[in-house]
Amino acid sequence: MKKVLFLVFILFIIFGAGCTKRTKDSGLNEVMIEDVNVRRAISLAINKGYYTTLLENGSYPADYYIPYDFYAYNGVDFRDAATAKYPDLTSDKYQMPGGSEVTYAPGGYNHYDVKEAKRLWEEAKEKHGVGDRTVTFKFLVHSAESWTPLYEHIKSEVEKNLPGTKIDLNVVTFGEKLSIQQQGDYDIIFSGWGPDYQDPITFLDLYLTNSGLNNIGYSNTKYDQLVRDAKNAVITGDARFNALLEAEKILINDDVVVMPIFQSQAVSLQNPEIENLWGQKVGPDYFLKWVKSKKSGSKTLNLLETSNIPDLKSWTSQDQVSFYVLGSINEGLTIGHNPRGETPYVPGVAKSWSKTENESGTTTYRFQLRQTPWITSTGEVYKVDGVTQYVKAQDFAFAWKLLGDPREASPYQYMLETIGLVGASDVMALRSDDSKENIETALNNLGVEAVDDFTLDVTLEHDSTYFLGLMSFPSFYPIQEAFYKSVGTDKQGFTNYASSQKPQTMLFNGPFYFSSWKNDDKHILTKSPNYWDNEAVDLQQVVWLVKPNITPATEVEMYLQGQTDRAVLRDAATQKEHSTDPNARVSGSTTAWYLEFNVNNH
Amino acid sequence: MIKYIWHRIILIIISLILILSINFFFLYLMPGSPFTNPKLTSDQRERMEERYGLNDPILVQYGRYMYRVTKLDFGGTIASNTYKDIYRDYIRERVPLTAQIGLTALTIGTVIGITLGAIAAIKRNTAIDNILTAVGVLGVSIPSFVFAAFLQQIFAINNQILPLTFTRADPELGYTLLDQYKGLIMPIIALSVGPIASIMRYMRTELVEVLNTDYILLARSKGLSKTSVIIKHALRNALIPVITILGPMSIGLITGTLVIEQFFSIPGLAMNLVNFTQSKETYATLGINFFYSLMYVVVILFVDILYGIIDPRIRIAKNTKEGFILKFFRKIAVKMKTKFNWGD
Repeated sequence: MKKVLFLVFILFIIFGAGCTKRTKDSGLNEVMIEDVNVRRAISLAINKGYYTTLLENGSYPADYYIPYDFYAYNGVDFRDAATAKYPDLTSDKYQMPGGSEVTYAPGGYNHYDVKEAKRLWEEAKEKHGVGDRTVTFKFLVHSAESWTPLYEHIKSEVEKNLPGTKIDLNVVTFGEKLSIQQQGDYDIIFSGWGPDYQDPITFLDLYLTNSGLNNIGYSNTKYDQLVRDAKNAVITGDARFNALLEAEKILINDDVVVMPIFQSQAVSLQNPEIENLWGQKVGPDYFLKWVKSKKSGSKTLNLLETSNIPDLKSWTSQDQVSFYVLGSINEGLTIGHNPRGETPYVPGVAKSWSKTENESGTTTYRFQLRQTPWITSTGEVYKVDGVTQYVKAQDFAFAWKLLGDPREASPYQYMLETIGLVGASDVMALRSDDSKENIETALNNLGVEAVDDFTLDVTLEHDSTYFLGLMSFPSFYPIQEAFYKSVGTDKQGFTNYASSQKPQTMLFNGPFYFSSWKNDDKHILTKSPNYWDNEAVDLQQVVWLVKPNITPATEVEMYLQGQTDRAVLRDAATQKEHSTDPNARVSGSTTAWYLEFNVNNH
Repeated sequence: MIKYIWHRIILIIISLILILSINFFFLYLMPGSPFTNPKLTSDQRERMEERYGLNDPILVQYGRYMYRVTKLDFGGTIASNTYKDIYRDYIRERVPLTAQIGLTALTIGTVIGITLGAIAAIKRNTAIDNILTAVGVLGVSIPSFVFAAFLQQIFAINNQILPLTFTRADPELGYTLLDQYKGLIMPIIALSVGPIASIMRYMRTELVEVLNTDYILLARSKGLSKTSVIIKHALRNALIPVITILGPMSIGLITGTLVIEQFFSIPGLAMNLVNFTQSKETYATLGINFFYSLMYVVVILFVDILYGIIDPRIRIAKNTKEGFILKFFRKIAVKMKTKFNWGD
């Protein structure tokens, strides 16, 4: 009997938990969060220096949205330009924690000011007749151990500085957060964004009225106008830069829909004998082509990876681990170079290009390709019936159509629209259950065309400053069509191209080829003997030890024992212990972390 | 006996189907989506879900999955938008290594545990017994990861005798086979501490009890020597409860334990199961769950057959149908209990 009762009790708990929905309160929170002064009060009430001091890894407390050291126009950093344009709004700055190279974090909007926060809050309470009632804001965050102090800090700062508020912290898994976010059952949400291309549009784009990622329902005609004009190259040069500056100000200062928290950095220890390991701002984190080894007698770079490779199909790949490998085994029309130098990108498969403005207002880039062969996983030149297969213009056209194909469900499909490719919006509108003819027609109408084997025409709705840089992005890498077809499909009907642990199901055209792919063990890249720019490649081999379960302390210890050339300090303990090491390096990362206010999606 | 085993196999198949179905519906109830790239718009996420049939009604998905199971396809991961078969890409690769480590640890644990337990029981209430009991309590109460950290600090950091983490041999890169085996030493030791301690305690308690029974007294009074009484009569009887805990223990060791995997960087399934569940990889979770359950019921069957060998009376008791169904469930209950009391 006891057992039966126990079983009933368990079932009750399970179904009870499933059936109860979080009850909504009187709606006071919704009214309040939709008031700009309330949002401003919250923004002013939180000291953002707290968490970055805790991290001690060079992260900036941020009153700004577009990251520092990300985009510069005429040699002036976006942040410096913003401070120059709006000096009154941006004069207060956070002091950086000790040990940092810079003394002050860049200035921004709504700097920590408890007095003003309290004033605005009391005013708003009066306006909405709150009286003695408590306003409970629902704060949606995803569970992660390292973030917990930040969540608690935000909660306590708001509750302390704005009397009569309560923050209801809703901690869920990342996947759950995404679905609650769409349903709109939150007032404040913690989010982050890493740029896809080196232009502020990658950040500002999110809050356009009909953007698929604008989950807070924000809409501002002026903002839309500014961002759209800058995006579609209606305005260029100084006017465009000013529009971007103004758009950011509207978003953060005027409408306060986004409240920046910090710009994160990562610290790593790096063998000083390894040179030119330049972190890239967008796309693959590193292009190993440029890396030089001064180690005596060894041209092997030893790295550690904490994840197996999720997806090496360049047209569907979406994560940094895959990009890191892809960026060195394959190559696009251009290749990323030193992001801090004069040239963020240099020619890759394309040896030269020219640009023509068409009468219809579109722009056509004509790329001349080099004769560079496809390489197999054994390092040999790929031949069909004894004929060497070169990377051809058709291979680019084929890959870009795969990227656009709705049946492939590529997460980066929107990159076609980002570069402004002709026909991209029709492709984006396709559904996977559309008729085959419709899909083929839309794909064939894309503005990418092989004029001959080594001439590629790319026609864009509008030109942009980031187009050529984006040609080093893995989504735009070429795919050899005949080989793709020869590997066939699996029992699910998905392609066998780049099957996990089978480098023989891929072809390579980068400085290295993938010679060994063993999950949980090692990934080995070997210098390609047939790469067009072989003299520039110094490394003979890149070995990734793959240890998905490794603890941060063990990773550092392996570096200290000389087994690896680089160790990322992945937790607070290792950061505290090693961030003063002479070989410690700050990543120069440009990921922004911020709160979004649910202004119109309740 | 053969008829009995057949009955049990049919029951096993039924329970596996039940386990899969219950798991399926519970996992389906979990909120969220496997596609958690924050850059995906809801349109794109929908498209990806469509690609893997996650938009279909639950019964359609259930039917499709069960149909796939009949073709021995137990699911796979989809989150990265690349399908990875759970058997080919995870179980087949990870289980042999963790099983090797786990079974070695289990063997060491059983041999040392039984020996020490027997010694403690025979030398009951002496200094040796007290010391062993104290060591046993320590062994059970210190979590294996504390022990792992301790070993790592001494043998891999302070003195670099053993490698920090496990790496497979690769002569071209300078990782020898010796290195590979050296990498297994610390995890095996860390893993075997728990089994040694718990088996020792079980063994001691049981043997003390058996040594106090009348039939041992009888054997002794017949004039048999103490050694032969212990070996021939007492040990065999004391082994039954020990075998009961060996079943669940071996599964725990073969499928791997999270912390040992983390400390020595051993690719195992435990971490996968946690990650898959959290990221709502329904089909991959089901695949691993199926594998765990299969191991579990097979080990239960194996243990029951072992019982029969050790104690012929148990075989006889199970001849009626109702009897063995009841026993089967009772045994599961007992084993669940021991499983949750034991280990990490």
